[in-house]
Amino acid sequence: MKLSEGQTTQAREVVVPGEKVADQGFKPGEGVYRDADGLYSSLLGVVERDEARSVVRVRALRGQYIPHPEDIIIGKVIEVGLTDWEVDINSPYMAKLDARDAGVEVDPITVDLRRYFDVGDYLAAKVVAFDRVTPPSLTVMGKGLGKIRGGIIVSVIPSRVPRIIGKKGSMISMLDKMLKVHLVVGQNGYVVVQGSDPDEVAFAVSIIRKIEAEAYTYGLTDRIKEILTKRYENQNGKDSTGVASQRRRCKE
Amino acid sequence: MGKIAQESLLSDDGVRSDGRRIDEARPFEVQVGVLTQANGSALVKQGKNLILAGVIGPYEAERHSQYLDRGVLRTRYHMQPYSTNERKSPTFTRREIELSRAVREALEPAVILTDLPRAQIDVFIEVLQADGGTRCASVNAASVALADAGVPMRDLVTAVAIGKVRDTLVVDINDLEDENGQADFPIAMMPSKGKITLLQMNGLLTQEEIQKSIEMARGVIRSLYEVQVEALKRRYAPLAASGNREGGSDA
Amino acid sequence: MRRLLPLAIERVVRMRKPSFQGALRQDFLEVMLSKLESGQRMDGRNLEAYRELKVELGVVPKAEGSAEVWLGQTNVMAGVKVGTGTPFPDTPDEGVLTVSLDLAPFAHPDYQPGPPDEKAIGWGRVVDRGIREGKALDLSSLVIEPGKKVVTLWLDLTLLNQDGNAQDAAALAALGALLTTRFPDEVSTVLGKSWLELSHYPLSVTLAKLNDYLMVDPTLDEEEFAQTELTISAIEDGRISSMQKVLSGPLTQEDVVRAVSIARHKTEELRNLIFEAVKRHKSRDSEPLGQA
Repeated sequence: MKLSEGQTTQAREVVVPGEKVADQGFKPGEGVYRDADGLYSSLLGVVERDEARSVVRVRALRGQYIPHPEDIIIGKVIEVGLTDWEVDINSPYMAKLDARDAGVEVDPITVDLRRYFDVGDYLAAKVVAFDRVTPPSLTVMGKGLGKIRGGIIVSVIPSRVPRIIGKKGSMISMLDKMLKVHLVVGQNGYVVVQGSDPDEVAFAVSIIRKIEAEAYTYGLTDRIKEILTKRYENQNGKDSTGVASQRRRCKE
Repeated sequence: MGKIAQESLLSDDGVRSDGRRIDEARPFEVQVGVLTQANGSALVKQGKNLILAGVIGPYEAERHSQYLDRGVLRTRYHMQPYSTNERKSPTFTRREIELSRAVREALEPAVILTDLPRAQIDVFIEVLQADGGTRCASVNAASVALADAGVPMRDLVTAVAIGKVRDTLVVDINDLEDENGQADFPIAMMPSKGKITLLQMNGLLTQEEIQKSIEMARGVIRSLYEVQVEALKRRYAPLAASGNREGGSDA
Repeated sequence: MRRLLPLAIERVVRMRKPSFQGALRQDFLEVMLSKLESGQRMDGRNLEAYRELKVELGVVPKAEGSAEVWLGQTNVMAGVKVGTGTPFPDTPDEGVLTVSLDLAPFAHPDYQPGPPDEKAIGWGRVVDRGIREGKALDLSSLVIEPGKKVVTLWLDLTLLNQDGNAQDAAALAALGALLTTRFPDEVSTVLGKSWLELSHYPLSVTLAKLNDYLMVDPTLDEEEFAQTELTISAIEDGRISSMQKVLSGPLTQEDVVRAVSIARHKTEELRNLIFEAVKRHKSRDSEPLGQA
């Protein structure tokens, strides 16, 4: 799922549509199609070979978000129906949130769904199913899901979200630990930054922008860590939470 | 306007009016991701052609124009008034409608539309400066812009026009050769597949000449394709050196 | 998290639907206003700063004059075509200048292909009036045979990428293209000069008003929230050649006076940037210079 952190010095292999990525022995994963004499990329992206399972896939470098079940996404309610909400999830496809998936008893006569989510509200939701022919379905039942009540939404290129999360969540857990804000990362390219100090929020936004801009460079996690450490070292006088000393320790 | 003598288009020792050999393509340059509002974009310089292609989408098509089993590709080829020697009226001409279709049909076989049910993709082509072979340069720009937009494709599409001057086949014809030559034969291919996706011909050619034209086109297309691929990779290739900025809309 | 900042979207992605609907609009506004209070804008600029300006001249050699301008991420191309034709009956002793502006359909996801709409015509008209009323061209010098044959100039502008303040970007591109317009032989031999000469150099400055704040060079996000916008064209001696207020919000007299003063010194800054680019362009050009 996540792009691997670059430990090696060798560049990741970028392919364009129509480039051969494997011989017949492999199975085509996402972004790969089978043709007469092998497997070919259908996207501009980075090749990932899973030798163990003989699967080759291409991770898109560009393009919009395509929903996958289990993805956490940030969506915006654009229409309220009698039994469901229509949600813009920053994808070619509009999603549906059924009232039942929001824990609401469906009774169009007595229940006005606007009481729960109104047009313009932002939600953290999970993709339940998507087959491209019918709209992706969402749920907000689950920990951390539901209406987003505050914060700034940063929109990033969806294919770069894995870098904000990092290998096995390494980046996001570092950000969570060091930044003085709360982050909700949507796979669809929306990141919610919540905090009480505008200055900290603005700084967090700039860090997310930096990760986005340098998504495909090596040593990114280390560089981000350096920036965070520097900022909070200089600021430790202001720091009243007592985590600053802890942070300084984890620097090296 | 009177036609130029064939002799002035090709000298006795095989040199064309702009100094090229018969099998020599014009300078070809591709820039990827040059716009920020479009989902994908490419600027192509092919000879004096200066062509900007922008892709909007894929997005959910209006209900009445949706297909449940595939997406829809729309193209629009448009020339800027200042793109030609004589100012062109900005209103849409029949030629632009014809070329919009030719470009769309050249691209369609490469785009995996079945991966995008209910969706629509718009490819808008603006000719900023026109030289010979604008439709081919437009196909070259559009296919890169589609890849840049993350649209699933079987292959890129690459095109070149073969012409005939002084009874000789020449590749990648310019304006002068287009207007005064004996044939104009634009060909687009999916280069990795070797399949032809656009084919038009005006003029008089023999069967042998047609066969030879396709062979010549195949060679030029191969080299143009390499430039397209290089441009895409250069724009988005991972940079080994840390701290180097990777492009994207933030460039 | 104790008190949360209001919900807002930092970079707006527009796809088919307007982004600032419902709850979000008010929240974004609050963030914007709290920044403006401290003299800052969402992108970190102060209220009177322009975004980075990039100018390229002579990008379309088939046009007699051309310029491409990037103002931040707003991108405009200008091309000048020169020909000859008959003058208008009411101005038999003047050349003909036609200015128009077109929106490339990829310039913004909401733009549709088709003939210029209200927006495009509006922006084109503002540029046109800036040039015409600012007497940038001495049209009486573009006459070949009075009443019969005059020089016709077509200035066509294309908005290629929209991130706000298309007006000023268009005015910059227009001036750049006119300043590098070379006459074709049929005109230069008759008029005895190879470059189009300008009498004045109009440029515009656009200000967006939000509550009591006047923001110079608004981005698309700022334009979305502006109650009104004022575009002011000025020539090099500080005189104003045209003004245009758009949108339904009101302006005070003080606003207008302040805006005019800002426009006068901002157009001068921008003009110098264009002049430098023109100088570089013409010194690169191998042909003899028509003027310094």
